[in-house]
Amino acid sequence: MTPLQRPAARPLPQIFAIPIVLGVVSAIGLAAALVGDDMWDAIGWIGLGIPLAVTAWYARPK
Amino acid sequence: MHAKTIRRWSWVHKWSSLVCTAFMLLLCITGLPLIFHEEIDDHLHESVPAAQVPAGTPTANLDRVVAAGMAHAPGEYPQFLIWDRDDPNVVFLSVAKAPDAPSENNRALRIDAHTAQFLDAPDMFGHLTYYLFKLHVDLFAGLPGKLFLGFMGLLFVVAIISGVVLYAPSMRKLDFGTVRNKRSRLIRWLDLHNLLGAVTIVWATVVGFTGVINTWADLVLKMWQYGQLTEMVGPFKGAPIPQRMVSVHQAVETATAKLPDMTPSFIAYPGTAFTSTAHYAVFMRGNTPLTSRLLQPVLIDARDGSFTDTRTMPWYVQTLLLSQPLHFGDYGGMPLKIIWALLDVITIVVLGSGLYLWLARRNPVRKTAPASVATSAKATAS
Repeated sequence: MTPLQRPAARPLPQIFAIPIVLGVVSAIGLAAALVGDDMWDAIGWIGLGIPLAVTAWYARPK
Repeated sequence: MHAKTIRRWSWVHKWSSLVCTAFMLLLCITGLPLIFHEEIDDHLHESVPAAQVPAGTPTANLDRVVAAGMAHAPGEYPQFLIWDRDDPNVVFLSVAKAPDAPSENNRALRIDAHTAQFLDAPDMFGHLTYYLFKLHVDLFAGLPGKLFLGFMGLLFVVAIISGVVLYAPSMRKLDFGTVRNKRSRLIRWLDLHNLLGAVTIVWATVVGFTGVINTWADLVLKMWQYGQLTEMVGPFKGAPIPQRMVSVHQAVETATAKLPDMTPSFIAYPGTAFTSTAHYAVFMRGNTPLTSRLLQPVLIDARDGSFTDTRTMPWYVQTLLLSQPLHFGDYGGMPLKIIWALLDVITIVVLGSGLYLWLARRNPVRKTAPASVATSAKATAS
């Protein structure tokens, strides 16, 4: 049996830290690909690719 | 957060999601192949390729282009002449039974932009992508269908916002991305729902809301017709459609001379929804990636070819025009399309898991509870 230890509740900034970073990165990606080509498109791919990579990492079969 | 506040937001999240989920699933599933509609059409349907010419080859006189098309459309009338954004060698001519007939059922003719040779008249209405497109845009129900789907999109945005609020109490004791694989199926899917929802908040909100804006396209066009277009047309309002029209090539040259820093995107013929009964409207686009999405109409008197007016389009049209690429994901090459598709699939999983969580929680006593107790007991034992 694992000991029934209640983990401490996290403050809001901690809960939302990663979602906010991913949101900002996504928004930069969405906008960058729109304002330019070539390098700007690449920024777009990276910006929207990061949330995908994060998803793949956490949802990977364990 | 107070338990009462959480309950209220749960109620908002549950009902906004439940009402829109079936339609959002339809939109995500039909939208997935539509991201690649050009590639699918190219693959499924033969089309006559335009002549490959060296860069800098001058384009043919537009009057010859139109004549080549109209030779294959006896008894019909040109309504729009459209430059293919993705293939500068091709010009589309959109024809209808009457100059002022509604344009939804127009035939499209493809013409070589350099040789002015007629290429083919693809049967768009027989294409798989056409059915997917109609389902996606208006459920084959015209404006009411569009507005209905737009309302579902608004509910989807409400579901995202309430989901963000509920994310806080749900993740109070968990690290970001925790997926409790060893607990019950319900808990595992709750964790996945939270993870996949959290990473797609911004993308899903942007694609969802720009989709809503796109459902208002018909209304935006009407607003523009009654507003700016009427002002620009002035005393020409209600003039008959001219029997003999001036050269369309000349009209484009006049428009290009007025806006030398822009490129023609399409021409609306007199009598169509995008211009008056007396004018060619040459819609010019900018030359940077961003401004190439924005349009500026130049009205040319179709009887004598003289310039009437040009104005920057109002904010509500610009908003619609900019919301299009942000919804379609067609502005960053194939990699962006693939990213769009993957994010769309994630959204499908968020919708599906949300539905599953609702169903599983509805009958918690009879089946889920003993099962989950059993699984967690097994997990602890192993």
